[in-house]
Amino acid sequence: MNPEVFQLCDAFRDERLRLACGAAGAPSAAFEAHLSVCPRCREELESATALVGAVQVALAPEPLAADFAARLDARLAAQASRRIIRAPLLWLRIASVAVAAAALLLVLLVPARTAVKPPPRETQVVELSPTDAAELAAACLLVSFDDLTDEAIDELSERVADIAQRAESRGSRERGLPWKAEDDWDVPTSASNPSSAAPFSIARGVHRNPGRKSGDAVGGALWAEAPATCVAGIVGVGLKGGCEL
Amino acid sequence: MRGRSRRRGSLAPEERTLLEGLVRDLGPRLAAYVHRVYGLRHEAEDIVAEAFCRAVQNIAALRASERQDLYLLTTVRNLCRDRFRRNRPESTPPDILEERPAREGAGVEPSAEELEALRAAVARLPENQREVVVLRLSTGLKFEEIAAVLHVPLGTALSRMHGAVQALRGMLAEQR
Repeated sequence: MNPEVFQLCDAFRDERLRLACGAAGAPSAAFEAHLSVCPRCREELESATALVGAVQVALAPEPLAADFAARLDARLAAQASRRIIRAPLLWLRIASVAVAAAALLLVLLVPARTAVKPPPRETQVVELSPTDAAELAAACLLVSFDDLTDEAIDELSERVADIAQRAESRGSRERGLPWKAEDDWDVPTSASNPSSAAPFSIARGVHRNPGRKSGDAVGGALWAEAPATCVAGIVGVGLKGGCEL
Repeated sequence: MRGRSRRRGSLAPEERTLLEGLVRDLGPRLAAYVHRVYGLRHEAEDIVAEAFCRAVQNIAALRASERQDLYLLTTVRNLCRDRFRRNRPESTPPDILEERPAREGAGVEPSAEELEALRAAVARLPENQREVVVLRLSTGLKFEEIAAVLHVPLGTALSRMHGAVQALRGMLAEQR
């Protein structure tokens, strides 16, 4: 046997493999010539062909289950119904996102103060008799506005409400009457001076410092316990009563 | 009009004929591919059905494809690889290992045990070799088509097949 024959075996490896694997078509003339003189390639080809044939039998596809077609149809129908449901759902999602975005824009663009709007403050001038004005002034003077306590605020607001209610109930008969000496009133000495700015400063103190805790507390207490007229009354009475006194 | 009928879930008659033909001709081969390459014996038909559903979803692309068998095979292959990527399986699927048979003497005609031994030997091949063997001997693709499906050169596909034959021969010799 010529050893040069075996040198060609590797060159025909792919063709030998293709033949073993059942490739269609006849082998090339060169390979046929080589096969005729090379027992190793013939043996290799026969062995590979047998092995590949056996593997082919072993791996032969099995038929699908009898109900495969029915299951596939059911799956296709389910897929189609999902698509039908999904289409409107998609639009619903888009609409939801648009509404949410619009709501967010609205919240961001509209100032917060309009959302929590306090009740409108009605300014009403309540005319007090000198007795009531003096009583109110006295009440205010009793409160130290530099150190407000809840109790003091409660007390003040109660007295203010009481005075305002009394003034309203008296009607116009006593309103605007000048102060008379025989009127029964008891004004502390410090408030006896009509030009004293104490009622002014007290009233302004409440409204000038709304950011202060004490100021807020006063405002809150007054809003809670007296009608709007009473708050206006503090300012109005303080100013008017102070001037008249 | 055709799109509207598809949206209602009913295929056009020619599309249904096409689908039925593909199921009949390719279904078993695709299931065999899933089973033998990935060891998903029980899930094979589900995966194949899923591939057909996807093909129906893109029926226009399927009809336009010159090689509908390769189109579907690629879909099945992608589904399998997605599933394996999600599940992070071991190197050899457990279903394949279950099939390892007992040793059996060689016979003239392959007996049932010998066929099982061959399947087990194929299952123990490296995946890249196993895939070429299955695509050639079970799915019936040419080496050029195998190279196209696997996105490898023709020489690589042939080399993998050659390596697989050598390895199978060695494994079977060991068993005897």
